[in-house]
Amino acid sequence: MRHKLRTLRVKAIAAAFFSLPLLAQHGSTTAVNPYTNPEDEQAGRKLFRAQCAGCHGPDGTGTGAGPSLASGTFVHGGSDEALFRAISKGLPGTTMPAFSFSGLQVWELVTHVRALGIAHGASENRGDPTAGATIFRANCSRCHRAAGEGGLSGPDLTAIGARRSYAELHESIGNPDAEVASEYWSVLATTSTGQTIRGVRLNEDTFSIQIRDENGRLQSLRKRDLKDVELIRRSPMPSFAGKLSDAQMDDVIAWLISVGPINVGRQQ
Amino acid sequence: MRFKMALLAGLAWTVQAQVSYERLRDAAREPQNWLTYNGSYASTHHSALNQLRPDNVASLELKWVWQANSLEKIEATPLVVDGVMYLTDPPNDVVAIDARTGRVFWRYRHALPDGVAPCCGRVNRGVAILGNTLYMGTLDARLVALDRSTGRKRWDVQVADYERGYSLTLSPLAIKDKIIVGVAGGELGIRGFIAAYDAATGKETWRFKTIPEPGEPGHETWDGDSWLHGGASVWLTGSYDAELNLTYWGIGNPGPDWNPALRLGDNLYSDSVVALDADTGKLKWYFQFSPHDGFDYDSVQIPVLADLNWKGRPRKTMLWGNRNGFFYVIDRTTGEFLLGQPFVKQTWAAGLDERGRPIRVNDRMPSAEGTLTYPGVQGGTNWYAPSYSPVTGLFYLTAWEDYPGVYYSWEQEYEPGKWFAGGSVRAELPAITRQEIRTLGPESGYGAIRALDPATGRRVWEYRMNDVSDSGLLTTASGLLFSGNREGHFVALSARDGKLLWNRYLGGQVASSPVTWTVDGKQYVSIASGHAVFTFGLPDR
Repeated sequence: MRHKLRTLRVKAIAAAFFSLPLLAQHGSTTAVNPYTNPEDEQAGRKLFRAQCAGCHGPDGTGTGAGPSLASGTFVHGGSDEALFRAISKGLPGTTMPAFSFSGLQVWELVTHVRALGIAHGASENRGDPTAGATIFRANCSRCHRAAGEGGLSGPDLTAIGARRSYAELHESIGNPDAEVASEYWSVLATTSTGQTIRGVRLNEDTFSIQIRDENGRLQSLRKRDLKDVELIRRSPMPSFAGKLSDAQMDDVIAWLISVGPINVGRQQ
Repeated sequence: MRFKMALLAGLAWTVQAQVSYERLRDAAREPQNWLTYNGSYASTHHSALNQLRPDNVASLELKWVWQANSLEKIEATPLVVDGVMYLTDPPNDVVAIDARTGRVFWRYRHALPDGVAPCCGRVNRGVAILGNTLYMGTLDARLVALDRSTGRKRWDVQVADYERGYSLTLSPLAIKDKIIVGVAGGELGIRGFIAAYDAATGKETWRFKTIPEPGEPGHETWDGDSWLHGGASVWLTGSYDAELNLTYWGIGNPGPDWNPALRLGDNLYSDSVVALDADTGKLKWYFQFSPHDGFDYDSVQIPVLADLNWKGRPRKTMLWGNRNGFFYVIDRTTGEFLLGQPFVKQTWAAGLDERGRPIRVNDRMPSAEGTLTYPGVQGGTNWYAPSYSPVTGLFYLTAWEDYPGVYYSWEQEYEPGKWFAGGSVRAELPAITRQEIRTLGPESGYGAIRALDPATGRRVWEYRMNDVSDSGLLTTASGLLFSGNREGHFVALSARDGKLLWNRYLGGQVASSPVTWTVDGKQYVSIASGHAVFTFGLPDR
């Protein structure tokens, strides 16, 4: 019975929505995923495992062949329509092929792909987001941006509420060194003349290292000019243990969850 | 005088006109050209040219750049034939380029139908030449023959059905009057084969099925109906020994990749090298590197043919650095296993037995909860062309060292043309889309160019890179080794000790092999990086 109802629903909506991506190319409208129920997500999950996980990993966090889809941000566009197009048309210049799924299947996959990020994210929401916004502005926003507001030197935290669990977020505020993403590792380089240079390591290859020093200056280091390079995996962020109470940290986390990818994912 | 010039021009044209089988067979004797995907039937990626030397390579300068129209990855190795470079602009356009200037003579455009969805990128590895015709395999699983001087199509035949997951990514191999290709698509439930086509007409002349059918020897190595969609693709061009009249091909993984319980048995001829009679396609011998594979350890490597002094007597051998992490020496007349040694960290096998069969560690296989195994899914090496230098006596390969994969397995039902891998792999690798920025630590493994002594399998030297590399290698008689890497560098090393002699940052991933050739008597070296081909030479005096 459920199946029949579902079929009727599909028939009723299909014609209206499947043609929208085409219209949108002419700038007149934007397609929005009509299939976002839990059962759509479940159908998408099954299809993802069979057809997508080989490259994107069993939980969508990526493999060598395909990137993570669980970060809450999509480099080729995060709108429903952009995701629909990426799956059905492929992405030229990448290993992402065009898939010949039905329109319904593509929307189900879009629903599941959005849930991938959320599946890793905070499930508890104990604090007060409004209070959290104030605390964030006073303590965090000099370095961190969230929902389009704040500094740029630290990671953008807009999607962090979907990507990380409550416990992980709590730990990151109290003990920032617990887990530091490699793009925020620093180097302490000593030149052959004994000068030391410290900065966030932005890129590295066999011959050189690119850093952003403590003054925000972009610097190039040639390895052959260096006597020593120490990779520092600690975070430049200070610990807020003792500065913020547990309740205040909960408020900040609640606010980060409230600005998370369920909201931003729909943006163009 | 005018008559004389016309006569000379006519002669030059006659010389250019034919690339006979004999020229291909004796390609090593005309190092001014790069006549086949692997440079010669022995596939050593070694050139007798010696104008570029360790003592002058540092003065190499850029001569020209050819920019592709396509944004797809260039995996093709160009051919260079009498001053003309033939190359695919991915996936399946072909261009003829003036090797002196980089300007284009002509372009052939191949339109692909909607619904072509190959497993691993819209790539192509280049063309073959025979007579006055170029041959290309396409992603819609066709074999196309093009006139060499106009780029116009002579014929075009269907090799397999792209809607069922088949594609052609390899560069064809021309032997005598035949064009030999194999099919890709092992992650999409295909059943692999190698087939020969009449070079003049495109008519199929023989076919070797990489999975034996009922009644054929080896069929018993597939449980139940698993053989029907068992993969065993052919991703890469084979080699050929004209004296033995045997052509050698590496065969890909069994499918579904990561659920071997769905295909109990050794799964012949997946993960094997097969030696086929070049006239009939009949199997002479095979050697299976990874029986009943669960880790996608395709034997997608180029069979490197080397005539070695083996334990005091001359022996026709084949050198093989396998994706499974072991380096092998095999007698190419008989298929006898001569030597096997790991060349990177590997944890799936305790070693090889006296016949070269791996001794598995606790029957280690992918699992529902994930099984950590070295090497990771890209293997200890992959399809990147290795090289053998008769001057140094060393075998060179691109290695991915010290990185694992966590292999997962689950149920999967076959659907025509759809992904059919039965699991997945997690790996901490620089994902392809983030290649421009590399911030991983040393614990994520690294790429290296390594020189191995074929007599022992032991490492003689390594050139270590920060990132991994998908580049093939080229050695020269003067003792140079050229390669690129994922970082976008083009490097020249000393083939003897691995010392860096020269490098240029080209800015794009290198995912094919460098080639060297001459025009006007001057030696050049070319490499594809990003979406362009760069050609270097010594300064003009």
